[in-house]
Amino acid sequence: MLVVDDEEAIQELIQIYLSEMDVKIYPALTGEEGLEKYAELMNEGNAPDLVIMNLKLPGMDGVETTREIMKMDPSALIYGFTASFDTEWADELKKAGTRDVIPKIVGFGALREIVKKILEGEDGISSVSWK
Amino acid sequence: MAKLPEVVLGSLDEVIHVVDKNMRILFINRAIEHLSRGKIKAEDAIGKNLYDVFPFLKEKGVDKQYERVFSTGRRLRTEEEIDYYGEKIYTVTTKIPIKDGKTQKVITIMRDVTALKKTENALREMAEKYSTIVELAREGICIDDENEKMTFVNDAFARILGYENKEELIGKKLLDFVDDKGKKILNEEINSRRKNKSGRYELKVYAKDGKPKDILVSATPLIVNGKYAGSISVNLDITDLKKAENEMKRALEEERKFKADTAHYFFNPLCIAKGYLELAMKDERDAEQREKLKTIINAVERVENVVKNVVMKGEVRE
Repeated sequence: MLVVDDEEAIQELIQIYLSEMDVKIYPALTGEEGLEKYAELMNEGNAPDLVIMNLKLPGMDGVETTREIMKMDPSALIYGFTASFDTEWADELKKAGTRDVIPKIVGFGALREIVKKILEGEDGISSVSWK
Repeated sequence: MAKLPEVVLGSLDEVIHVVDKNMRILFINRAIEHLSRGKIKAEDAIGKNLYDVFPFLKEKGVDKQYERVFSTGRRLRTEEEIDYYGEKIYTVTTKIPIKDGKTQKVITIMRDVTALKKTENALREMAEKYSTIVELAREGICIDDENEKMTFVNDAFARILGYENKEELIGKKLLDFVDDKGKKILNEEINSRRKNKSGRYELKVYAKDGKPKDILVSATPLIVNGKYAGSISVNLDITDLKKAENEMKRALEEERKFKADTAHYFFNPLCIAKGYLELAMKDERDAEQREKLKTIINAVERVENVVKNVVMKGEVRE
């Protein structure tokens, strides 16, 4: 699983909260780094099962990064993970190719449950309420 | 008159009568019965003095007209408006001298044009009424010919283009008051009008002093005898409306940006704080410390709720 988020604390918390799951997490602090990591893993025949994508990133933003990954791998499974969840910008993220957008305010415990369901092939977001 | 069969004269719609120098009626056809709405019979009038049968003619100065025709020997054509037995009647009369050396008799042909006159008056009244409406209208009204030259504009249209004297606009083209973008829009619209299609569109025009104005145009083609003869347009000055619309858009954009920034700068740190606090609580064995952590998490959630309401509902409340 690839996590693209510029906040180191968020990267660390995702690592901690998801540590009980049998999943390898690759962090990327920028869009460019995320793109590079995805290409590297794909070339190794080990494309990430899931990408968690922040929206506001330094340099290439989440929308652009998602678009580039989708160009590289149209079957990529990408979910937005952002604080700006109820905005037109977040809608652009969906248009770029993310399956859905997970609001950051759901917390890390809920994120873990959503990720579990997604990796099991289910829609994890509809079970979580944040409004 | 004996040569003219009476049956022919009797069937004419025009009143025909003949008088001698003493104004004695020598002949009058049956049309007088229709014109007088049945009040005068032709046979009763023959042999009588014209002014005895039609007393009001002297008041109207008709006696002077006959005197002129007898003295000059020239025909006279007049139009009259007379109260005929309580009804207003309009007539066109021709007095033709019959000469035998000097003028001896005058033949008078009188046509009742009341219906025509009433229609004409009604049309004039209607035209005056519409003309007033057009002039008083707050919307600018403009008529162009087939070469897009203005042939009529009202005061409101002249005001939009900054002209005090609307006559100055006659012969000018609206194309002279727009920029390249406006020319493209206008040319497309003109082509539509030539295809007999009406249209409604927004246009930026530049007034005499160079000031830009936004107008909403509703234009209809004018087709005369199946041929394109120009167009008529109703133009509404929407400059202020457009300004308000842009202000509104800008305010909405600012609000959207404010909400997006608020979400980003508040939710990220709150999310991190809650994440670590929940981890700390999980590891904490001391009940008192756990209670304190619980209170802190609760406080963070309250702030989170306030921000959520600001971002999603535009309300500052928990």
